[in-house]
Amino acid sequence: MKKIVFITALFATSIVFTSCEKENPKPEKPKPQANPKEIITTAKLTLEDSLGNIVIGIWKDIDGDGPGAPIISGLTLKAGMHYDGIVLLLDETKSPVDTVSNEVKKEAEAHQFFYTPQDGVSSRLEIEREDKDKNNQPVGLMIHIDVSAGTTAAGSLKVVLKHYDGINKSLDPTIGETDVEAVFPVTIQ
Amino acid sequence: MYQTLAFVYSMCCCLFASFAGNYPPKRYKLTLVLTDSITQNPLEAASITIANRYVISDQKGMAVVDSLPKGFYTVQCVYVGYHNLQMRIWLEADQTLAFALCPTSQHLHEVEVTGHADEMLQFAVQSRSFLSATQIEQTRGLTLSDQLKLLSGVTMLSSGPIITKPVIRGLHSNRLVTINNGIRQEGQQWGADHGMEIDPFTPAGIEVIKGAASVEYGAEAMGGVVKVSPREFKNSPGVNGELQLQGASNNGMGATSLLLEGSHFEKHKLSWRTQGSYRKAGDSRTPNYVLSNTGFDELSGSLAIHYAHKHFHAEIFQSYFGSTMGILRSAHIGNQTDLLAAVRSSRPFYVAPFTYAIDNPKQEVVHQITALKVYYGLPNNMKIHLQASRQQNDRREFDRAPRSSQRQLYNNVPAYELLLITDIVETKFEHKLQPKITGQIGASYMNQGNVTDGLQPIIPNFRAYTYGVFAIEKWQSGRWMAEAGMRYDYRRQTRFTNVNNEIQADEKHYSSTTFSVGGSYLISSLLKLNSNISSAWRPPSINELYSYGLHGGTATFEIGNANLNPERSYNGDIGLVFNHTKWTGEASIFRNQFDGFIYKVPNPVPTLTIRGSFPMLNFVQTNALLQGAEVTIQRSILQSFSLAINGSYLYAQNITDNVPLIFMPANRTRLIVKYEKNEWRKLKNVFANLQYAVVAQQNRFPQGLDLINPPPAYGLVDVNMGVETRLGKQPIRLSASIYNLFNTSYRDYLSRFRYYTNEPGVNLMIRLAVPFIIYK
Repeated sequence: MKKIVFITALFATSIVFTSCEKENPKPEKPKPQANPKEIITTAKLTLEDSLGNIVIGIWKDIDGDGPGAPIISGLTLKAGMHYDGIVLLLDETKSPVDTVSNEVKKEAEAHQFFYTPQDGVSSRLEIEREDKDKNNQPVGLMIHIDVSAGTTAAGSLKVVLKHYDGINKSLDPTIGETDVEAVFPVTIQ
Repeated sequence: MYQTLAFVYSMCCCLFASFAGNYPPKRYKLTLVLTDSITQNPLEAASITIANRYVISDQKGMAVVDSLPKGFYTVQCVYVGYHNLQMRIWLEADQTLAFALCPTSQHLHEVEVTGHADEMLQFAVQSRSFLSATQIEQTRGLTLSDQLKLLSGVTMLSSGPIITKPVIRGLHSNRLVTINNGIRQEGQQWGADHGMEIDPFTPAGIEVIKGAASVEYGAEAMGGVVKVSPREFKNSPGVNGELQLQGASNNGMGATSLLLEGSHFEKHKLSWRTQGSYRKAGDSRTPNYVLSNTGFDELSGSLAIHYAHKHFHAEIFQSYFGSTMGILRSAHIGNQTDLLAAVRSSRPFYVAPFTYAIDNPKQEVVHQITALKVYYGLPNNMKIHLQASRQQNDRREFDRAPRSSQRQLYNNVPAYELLLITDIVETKFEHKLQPKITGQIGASYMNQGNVTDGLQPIIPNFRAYTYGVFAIEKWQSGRWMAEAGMRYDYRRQTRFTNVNNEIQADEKHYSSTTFSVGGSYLISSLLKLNSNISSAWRPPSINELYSYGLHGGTATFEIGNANLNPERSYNGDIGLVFNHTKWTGEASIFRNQFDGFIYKVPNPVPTLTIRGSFPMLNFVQTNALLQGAEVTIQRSILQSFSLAINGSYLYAQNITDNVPLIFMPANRTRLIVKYEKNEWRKLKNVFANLQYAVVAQQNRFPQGLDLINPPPAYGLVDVNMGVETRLGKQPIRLSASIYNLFNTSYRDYLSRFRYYTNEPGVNLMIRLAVPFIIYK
């Protein structure tokens, strides 16, 4: 008799313990994929020359970190020309489209763009970052490009966005975490 | 002249006479009585070894060893179906000792292995190593995997100084099974950066089985099994407890644990044990810089109640383990270019002053276990066990926000959250067919479900049912022992995904038969030979099948392979154990052959995203071979000193492609100089040891697959000491350890953070244990 009482007590205690858990979601009913976080899907470089002509380069990878191939449209620049440009970063998975570069502008002290002409155009482009943050450090949302005179050439422009989280902004492009590393094909005519 | 000679002669006679009094030395008789600790029945035909003598107990469980000179002896009692018992005794008179052996169905008995780390003459066919309660206490404060490194053949995989997992003969994660208080611990063990979720204050014995052990432990026991056993229940009436306090200098760790245990009544014995622990630490430090964001915060508690009446035993067990761990800030990498820059830098990119604060990236894990165990002893030494448990593993990993505007989201919502609930029901029937044949047959059922959530989930929801049945028979006669076992497992696993609000279910089935055959022979009372051949299997894990995404902070994109087949391994092991009064030791060689070894290879074409390029890793299968050897030798010098050396060697090869396997531990050796004294003035159980561990450079690795080559060889010196004494009337145990005494800078090949930083520097740890009695 005592044995039965004890066993029942033990079972009862274990039931109490198991029922103390919260209501758990079931694996058989997965929730649809929500995506509240803001990702950068698109880098759009808009350049205007002294005559008012607009050149646009777009680097777009709609699946973010996914393996889907990006869609890249490059820049065609005129030799001997000067361009003023801005870079826009967008999250095109959101509706309406989220302009991430607005956040970058608000947090200018923690961000910096680096522009590196490569290959065939490495000696043909001179790029200056026009905008500065409140510590007088470059930001790079606004740029000025000087294309030197010469023959046609083809190469690329690497656009890198670094953010500085808890560390000081540095002119050294290896410091900081990379948010964008987009290479735009460039043709000089 | 004659007077002088007579005087010298009489002096010589006196001297001679005084020596003669001690020579020949007195001899004593030791009588042993062996019984079953539960039923109190005498154990007939148990094997007892003492000094270099070997006797067998009679029908009354008695054995007599006479003509023993005064001194220390290690007595070993071995009986199939019971845990081996080893006791260190001091003999200086005729003595009768009663030993109660615990059936293997019960948890490890504290007296089974003393703190002297002697190798035992066991009737076990597989390579097994033990960490006793004393050894565990002497190294407490280190992570569990760090403690296991003392055993040859066991190394450690780490993601920073606090997230560690054991590696047995090169295998880890989901190629090992962890048993916690008899229950298979189920968490996200496939993750190399998912540590062991066990309160380090609770183990009172850890057994490591090296090699394939799927027959008894089911799927995933390919590299071995780590069995963590808690303290035995209190047997004598009363309530007592123990308070432990610890501090460590390197990461400013403070830890405390309070244990209370009691036992009541005689006929319907009710024993209980409850324990609560809290640990907090700040950043770890290397000799040159702080490892920023490597602090942790841990809270654990457990309650176990045991009821015993005649042949019936029942236990209910509830445990909670909650931990928050910081992930090295500098290991959070933007893209492949950033990773290369980090590798080339001599210093991690983010080094801040020491702090206890834990920021993102971090891990938060809560692991809860509820279990009921029932055991019933039938006549003729038959026993039935039944065990039912539910575990809940809730793991959240928080990532760093890329912009301040996203910070609140990333602080509240984890990058991924995995809730894994596992129900296990197991039953076992132990029988004795004849005096010489004992065995067990058993069945197990496991129901596991995983729910994924978060900003970037890495593995999907799934439900898996696993069924297993097995039988093991052991035959023992005199110096021989043989064992054979077989098991059949079946798993049905379904993945659930939500595609445009429609639920898709993908089902997979896996099954396997595993076997084991082994034998053991006592060549002499000094020397035992054991060998075994066994097989093991594991179905591909959920991340190997369905991974899809950037693996948080490692700058690699992993893609699962839904067509993977289960891995199968065939393991052969030969071991030699010797035990002489002054010399003890063990040597073993093994060969573990894998069909379909699953691992990751980089795709020649990297993934291109707006953040740059990431190497893409695909899961593939190959045939592999892991073989090696381990040796441990110990010699006692004088009465209190001993010298021990152990070493391990591993050869791991991808046979299909004829290249070495990646990320395999290097060969290593450890030298220990020990001093132990039972009593010294007012101090008891005094010990001190100096250890020197040397890890070689791993020269066997596939070229071009890794970003950097394995780090150079290194050596570390540790010092440990401790004592038992009294503060007034209160007994206390005090110990101190200094790890990495010379503050050596080094990196280890099995540290996932070796791309970014060195390992921690010198660490002074102090431990205090205060046992107390509430009432008797």
